[in-house]
Amino acid sequence: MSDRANDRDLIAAYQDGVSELTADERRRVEALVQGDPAIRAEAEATVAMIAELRALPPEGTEPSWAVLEREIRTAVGPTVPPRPFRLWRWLVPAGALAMTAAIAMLVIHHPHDGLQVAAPTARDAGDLPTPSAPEAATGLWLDGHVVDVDDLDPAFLDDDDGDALATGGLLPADDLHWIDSLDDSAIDRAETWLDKKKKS
Amino acid sequence: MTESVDPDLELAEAFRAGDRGAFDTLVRRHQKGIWRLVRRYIKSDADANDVTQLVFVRAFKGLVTFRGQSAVRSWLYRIAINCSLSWIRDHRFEQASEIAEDALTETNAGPARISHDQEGSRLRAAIAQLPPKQKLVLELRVFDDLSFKEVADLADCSENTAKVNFHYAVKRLRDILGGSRE
Repeated sequence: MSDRANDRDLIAAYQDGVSELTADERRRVEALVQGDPAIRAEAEATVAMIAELRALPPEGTEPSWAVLEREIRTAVGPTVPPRPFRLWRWLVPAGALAMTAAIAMLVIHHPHDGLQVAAPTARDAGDLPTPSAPEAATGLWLDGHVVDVDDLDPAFLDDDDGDALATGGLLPADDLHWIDSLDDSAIDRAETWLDKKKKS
Repeated sequence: MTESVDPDLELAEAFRAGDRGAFDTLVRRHQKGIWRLVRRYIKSDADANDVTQLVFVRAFKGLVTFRGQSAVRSWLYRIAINCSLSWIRDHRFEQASEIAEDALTETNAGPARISHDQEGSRLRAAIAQLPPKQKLVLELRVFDDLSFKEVADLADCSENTAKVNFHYAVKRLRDILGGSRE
């Protein structure tokens, strides 16, 4: 704030007749008022205006204060109201706790099907006893169905040239040129059949 | 400037500690100021009584959670301003007709009272022409004797802004009244 603006505020506070100025501010304002006749005239007019305002009687006819006090006492009642429980203070930690508990319950009671315990490493294997129970079957999720891969012949998995695939009842992987010969209607029919199969 | 201790804080703390009588002391101390403040907004004595009662009912309920961020008096005055504005919103049309009735009554007053009332009415009419912020600051300062800090709290502005508004309000009033007195 500029000095001039600051002086104006100080003068306003001073003119109001209420001592809200420090001793330094007061001295500064008094010097301004004494040293400048225009400021002095302005200050006197303002002081007169404020005095006129303060002399105004309050609006309306004031009530009997004793009666009003009695009415207020009756309206508020005889006992101090209890302090309200500040719910918001506990809301966040309680919510976080509930969320953590819910997640923990979900993990414990409904473990995900795909979650598997990591196989022991070669270094750990020597420390572990040989499992006596048979290992669980390994399943694959293919096209909406679980396929038990343990049912497959190991020779089928070792085969690299695709002959075993043919014997497994699947289409030969190395001869798919017949797909190019299919027309659109054949492809549509095939897709419709696949959709039906999925739904059934 | 020195920071003064809020003289009502002790009463507020006593009330929070369960002393019901502390509230009665607060009522006795502030009901007059609150009523006058409310009456400046609401142009009927009876309605001002009701709103003043409402102000203290709200204060009674809220004082247990009062955190002392402002003076108790400023806090009460803020409730009073809010209650008055809310009342005006709810009774807009009634208020307008009551003002018209008051105007009729004033023209029938005795001759001695007329000149005194006329001077007062002119002053009040001049105050009514002030911009809302200047009017609020001037009234709180002059009629309610609040410090500039309390005025700033209630007018939602800095202490300096309150002083500047006060300065301009007085200057403007002088201009308005100077023009009408010539």
